Amino acid sequence: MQIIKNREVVQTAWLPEQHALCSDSAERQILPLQAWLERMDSLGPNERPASLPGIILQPDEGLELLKKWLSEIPVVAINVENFSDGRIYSLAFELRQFCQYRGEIRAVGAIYDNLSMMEKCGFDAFVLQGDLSAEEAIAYFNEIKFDYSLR
Amino acid sequence: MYQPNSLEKDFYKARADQFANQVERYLDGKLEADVFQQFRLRNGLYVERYSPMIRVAIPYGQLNSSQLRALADIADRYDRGYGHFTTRQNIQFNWVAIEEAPQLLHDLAEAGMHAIQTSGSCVRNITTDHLAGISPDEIVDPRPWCELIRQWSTLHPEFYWLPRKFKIAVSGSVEDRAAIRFHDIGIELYRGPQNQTLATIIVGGGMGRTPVIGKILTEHEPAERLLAWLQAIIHVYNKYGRRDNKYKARIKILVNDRGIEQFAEEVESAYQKYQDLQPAWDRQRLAEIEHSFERPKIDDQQAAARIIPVNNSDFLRWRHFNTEAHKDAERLIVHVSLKSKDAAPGDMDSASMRHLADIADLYSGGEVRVTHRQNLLLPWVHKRNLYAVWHHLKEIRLATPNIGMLTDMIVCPGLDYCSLANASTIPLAKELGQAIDNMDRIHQIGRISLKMSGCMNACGHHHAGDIGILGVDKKGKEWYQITLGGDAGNLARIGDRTGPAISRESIVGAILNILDTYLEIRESGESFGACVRRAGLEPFRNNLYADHQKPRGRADSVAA
Repeated sequence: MQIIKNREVVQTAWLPEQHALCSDSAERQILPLQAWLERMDSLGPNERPASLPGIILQPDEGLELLKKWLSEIPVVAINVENFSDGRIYSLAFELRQFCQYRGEIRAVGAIYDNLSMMEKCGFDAFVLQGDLSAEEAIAYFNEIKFDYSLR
Repeated sequence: MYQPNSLEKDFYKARADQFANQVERYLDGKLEADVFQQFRLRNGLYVERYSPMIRVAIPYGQLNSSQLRALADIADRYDRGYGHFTTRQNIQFNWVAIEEAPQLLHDLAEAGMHAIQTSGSCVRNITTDHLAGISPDEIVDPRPWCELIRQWSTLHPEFYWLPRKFKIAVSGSVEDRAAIRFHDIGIELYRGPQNQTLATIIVGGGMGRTPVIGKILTEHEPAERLLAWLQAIIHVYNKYGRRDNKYKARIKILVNDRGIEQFAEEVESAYQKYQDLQPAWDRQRLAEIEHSFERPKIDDQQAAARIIPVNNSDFLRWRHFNTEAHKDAERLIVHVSLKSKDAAPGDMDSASMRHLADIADLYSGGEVRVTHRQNLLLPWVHKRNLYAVWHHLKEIRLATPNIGMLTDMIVCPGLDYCSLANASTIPLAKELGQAIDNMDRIHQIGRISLKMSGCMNACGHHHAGDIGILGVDKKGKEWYQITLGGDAGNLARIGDRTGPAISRESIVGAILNILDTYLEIRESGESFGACVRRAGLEPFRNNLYADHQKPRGRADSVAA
């Protein structure tokens, strides 16, 4: 699947579990919070997969339950059902700044011109939907370069 | 006054270009209306009852003469030759075509102005005392702090999509003229024992349909930590403010639901995290901003004594009501009333804007300010030029001696422009002005604030007026609710309702009735607010509703 990562179009191996190309091997899957926690619970005490599954969060879900694993989760996707729901920006900001999360923060859903503001909050990957082409989307990163940088 | 540098002007232009692209995609059907709405609102563009309207930011109400001329040009080019100054010290143009809005924004950028975040669910323009930097009772000049907050909040990536609009006001004087207790966040600045700048932070105030007086979140905070506190407050609001019901989405509802103690705890915990992230405090930047707000160079000689003062009673009356003391004893603050009988409150035509710009150049260091009372003022007039200034203002019909008086009403646009309004306000204000068309009587009544809103969104701040008038719709007819005793200042108070709403036919009579009661019962020198606090609403109610004989308060015109 194609996504934009660090302002470039790339192929990603990390896919939502319902995705047609998603393998059954349970590796490189992106699971919703509840399913993700159940998967972790099902592991034995000394059983650790090579890599933890990715996770997709809803705007109203918090990071409390994930904190102890965060540094090992390769992809945290955030469901951008509505780009004007400000909680997604605070969630990404908390991940990057408060939790020092270094993995991929992927925006999934309705993304428009505000990619550069999302990037400043910590998003580094974007799954495009609808009519927006990757070229248009990448151009939006550079529409407004100015920043007062007082954050 | 602060002027954007060339980088900032380029940013305003880039923003206008970005909006041009969005308008084009919207008109081509490539951008859905609800998505475009979010973008246009954050560029100040509303779609109103009859036409789009654009709201232009005037930071801290300050304009230089060339900016005022630019606004006049915009009024001629894009509107019908006039603009409307608002209670938040902005200006609105009411007849703008959507296709032309990006070019309008470009013209604004050339003049160092913008419309960024003047509407939409984001941090709106920061407001402060319209007498900042010139008032004798000032302790800390709030403008550099406002500008710092403005820069910080402009396109803030985390806080660009809040549950609802967010208004911040800052005051640095003894008298609160910025209504900090009626804002989402109100900040009071003062000096500590070592002369350091300290801040008290108030949250959760507001008007609208649920008027609330803000509560103190924290006191005696070093002002250097203001931005970290703001980040923490807005972070908590952004996460937990309600998004399911726009009438319950303001921070005041969250603060009331949580209780101020619990809310403050959550903010404190976020504050600790932001405090760790906060880059080193940039003293240099604040110093630069402070420097830009230093008093302008004024050449008083240029215009001095052009017109010889005489004992003119009109002049003396105007001087008494429309000027006030300046922190510089040689000067006076000169108010310019936009509340004449002939115009809607706050409206100004382009010719008057250009004339006033000329007057400002001659007598006021080229500076004009917008007040939250929808008037303008000249901040730097030398006393010896006062007569000349009056003479010029009178020539362009801007010398109505009614500042702070009954006819200096605050009025939202109402049914004449606004798509939210339930009732008209501008025609009512006009009728009221005609009914009391006697300066002696107006001056006898004295200082009084009459504030009128055409719907419960309360843009006319009626909750905070000595007399508040709220337009309501009853079965398709316009009715008005009256509140008395509101106060936006240090004694922040929400007005109390007199009783049932009053019909369109009877509302002017009802206001006259209330004024009669005040004149009848007031003690010597007692203000309207003090009179209501002392006597309560009973005497007003009794005269207003019980007297069925007088034509102004007939029983059949009072709603059940």
